[in-house]
Formats: sequence, structure tokens, C-alpha cells
Amino acid sequence: MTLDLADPAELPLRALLEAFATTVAPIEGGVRLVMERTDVTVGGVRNGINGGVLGAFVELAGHLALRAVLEDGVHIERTQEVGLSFLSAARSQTVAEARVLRVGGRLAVAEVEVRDGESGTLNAAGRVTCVLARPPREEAS
Amino acid sequence: MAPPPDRTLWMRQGERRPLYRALGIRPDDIGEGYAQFIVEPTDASADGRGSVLSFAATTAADQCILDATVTTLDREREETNGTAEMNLTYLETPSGVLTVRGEVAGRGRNLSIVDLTVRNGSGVVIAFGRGSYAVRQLDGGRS
Repeated sequence: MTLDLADPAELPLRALLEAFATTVAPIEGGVRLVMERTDVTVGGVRNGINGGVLGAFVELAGHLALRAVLEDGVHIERTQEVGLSFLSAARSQTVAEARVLRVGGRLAVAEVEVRDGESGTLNAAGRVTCVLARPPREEAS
Repeated sequence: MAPPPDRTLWMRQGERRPLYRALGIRPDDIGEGYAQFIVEPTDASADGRGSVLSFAATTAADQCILDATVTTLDREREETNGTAEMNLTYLETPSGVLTVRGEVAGRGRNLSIVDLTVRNGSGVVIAFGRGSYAVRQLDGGRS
């Protein structure tokens, strides 16, 4: 993948990955994130993983999957839309797998599934749409 | 209907949460049927290559759905059961200090529907959305 966490421009992502105790690895067509249960990520109903954390986790996974396939010079400007369904309580180590659905000229879409790291139970499913920034085209001479 | 939450206590509890500190989220206001948070850029959300401040806004939005719903609970008969669904659509790139607010648009026996808005420092709506939150009837819904 193209994400270089040593790049100062990636500091926000690196800090977020650290805050969520999350590691990233490439998979076919996307990325796999593993988030440990910590005192930052808990706080949901009946001591589960906080729903807001899962929301940000889905958005983060979608961004990283898209970053991994973008051409040089193209980057994500911002999230356009994030939507997710919470299907069951996440309680321990949580795994997100994000796959790219489409990269267009201006928008790119990834789908994300979040599962329990031990049982594989589906905790949440989401879709993330991002606005892309492309370098200006050179004028034809 | 639940009594109005103690705003001071709610804010104090929020300020101690490690999640909020990590993402720059601060409780701002709560009352019957609504909750509001401030999101400030931190190392984990400040602009880098493109904006990731929206991640913190997403977290705050989910908290708005929960806390706004809690203000509508009948504590003797109902309890929280988790966010069911959420979506946010952005109109502009989030930057600077954001205000994320959730207002209960409708309450049924088992679901609360919450309208979400995200405003920038000028008060302009830069994102909107909706969430639904599951409410559990303590008697199992038999009454």
C-alpha cells in the first residue's frame, strides 16, 4: 500500500491509529485493520466497544483502502458520505476489512465490514464515499 | 420522559473520557431531546493530506445519537440498547472547530430517530445526517 506513516503529512492518520491501538495490513482489493480493546475504545452499551469508535474505524478503514489504490498525485480531499449499520455489539479485538468498490474521476467508494477478532461475528457494515483531489491537468500545447 | 440531565455532571464525565481527549471531543450542551459536542483538531484529527477531522465528527455524531436518546428514556421502563444505524453526508471539507448536534426527531417503543448536523466555526452546516438508536423495554415489551 502507498501509506507511508513516516511521512509527516500522514501524522494525523498515524496519531489516530495509535489512539485506537490499530494496525494495518494489505489484503486483496483493500486493507485489514485490527483494533485492540483499550480504555480509549470502550464505552459502548454493556461495556462494549464504543459505537462512535466503530464509526470512525469504518471511515478510517475506507480511507486507507482507497489510499492504497490511488494513482500518484491523487489524494483524498475529504469524506463525502459515511453510512453504517450496527449489527451486534463489538466486545474485544475488532477487525475491519475494507475493499474498494470504485475509483472515479472525482469520487471513490469503499465498503467495510467489521467483525469480532475471535468469533468472526459481524459487528457492523458500512460504506465510505470520498472526494478525490487530482493534480491540475497540463494544457495541451 | 426522563428528567433533564445534569448538564454540569454530563460535561464533567465527558471531560474525563480518554476517547474524547484523544479525538478532541468536548461535551457542550444537553437538554430534553438533544445533545451537542464540540470537536477541536488534535494530533489524531488535524488536517494532513486531506481532512480526517471527519473521523472525530463521526464519533461525536454517534455520541449525540446516544445522549439525545437517553434524555427521552423512561428510566423505570427503558434502557439503552445501542446505535442501530447512522449516516452523515458532507457538504464541505471539515476544518477548525466543529459543532456536532443531534436532535431526536421521533421516538417509538424500540427506536429513537435522531437528526444530525455538523457546523463549522462560522455556524454554517457542513454536514447532516440521521441516526437510529435501539431502546430496550425492561418488561420485554409485554405491557
